[in-house]
Amino acid sequence: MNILLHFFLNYLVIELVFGNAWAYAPIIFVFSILIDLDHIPYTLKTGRSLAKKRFGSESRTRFHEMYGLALVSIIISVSSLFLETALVQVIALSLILHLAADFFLGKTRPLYPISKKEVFLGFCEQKYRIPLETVLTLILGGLVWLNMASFVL
Amino acid sequence: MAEHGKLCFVKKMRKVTDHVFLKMPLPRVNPNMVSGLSLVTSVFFLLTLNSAILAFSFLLLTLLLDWFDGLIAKKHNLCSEEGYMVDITADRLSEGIIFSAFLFPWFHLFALNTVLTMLSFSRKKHVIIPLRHIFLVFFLLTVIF
Repeated sequence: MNILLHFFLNYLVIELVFGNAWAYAPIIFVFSILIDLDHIPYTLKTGRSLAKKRFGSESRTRFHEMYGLALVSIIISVSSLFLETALVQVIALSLILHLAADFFLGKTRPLYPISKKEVFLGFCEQKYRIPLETVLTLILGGLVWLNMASFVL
Repeated sequence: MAEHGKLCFVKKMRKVTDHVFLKMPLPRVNPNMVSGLSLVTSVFFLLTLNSAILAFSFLLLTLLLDWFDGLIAKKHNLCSEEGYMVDITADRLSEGIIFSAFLFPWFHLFALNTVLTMLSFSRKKHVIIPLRHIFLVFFLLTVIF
């Protein structure tokens, strides 16, 4: 899933749940795309241009799967003892929704590196994935823009 | 993998419930999709937190979907290791979504559960805390009192 769609989805869910997404917009953006940084080694290793790259399950490291979820949950549990509750909730939801969205739409290896088996939920065939993501990005982006505009104007 | 690694009392309980519920007419759908839908209902649980009844309904629906995916897989002989992996991953992600709004102690227990899940898979012994079931009772009691 593209990084904009991750941000828009997380922003809207956090706005609807906690009602304070505008105040935390930069934090939501950073933590919505943080997990995708693990694509960098794959991008550097395979020399093709970004436009031609296919970011499938092989492009993800262990931090994009259950191992990453365990690590994130432990770090958030510890940081919840020191940081403001609302901030921790926003960070937790941004990170977990990213993993959930990738698991929901794409092919993943959930227990990598223990198991390299790839799983797919079957909601959206791979050939329709890019058109679907484009439409969703436009719709959710529009909703986020309307929400942000209501604060600015 | 899904069944033989489970604790003895869980196996016995499953045997009894399976005996009854596998006789029900269940649709032949992809059980992975049913597991995936529990993520959607978990998000809806969060979205409806202002209304206790709706939130409780979505939490109950999440648990029912989690139960149905296994039943459908057994009924139509679709059990596989991939299915088990999807099931436990969907369960942990669903817990993560639900408990991000209830940090202490639920999120801490969820962190423990994710570690237990990885250990369970690598040791082939299913030892995972049924956190959402416990939370359902807690949530119901909170709503009532």
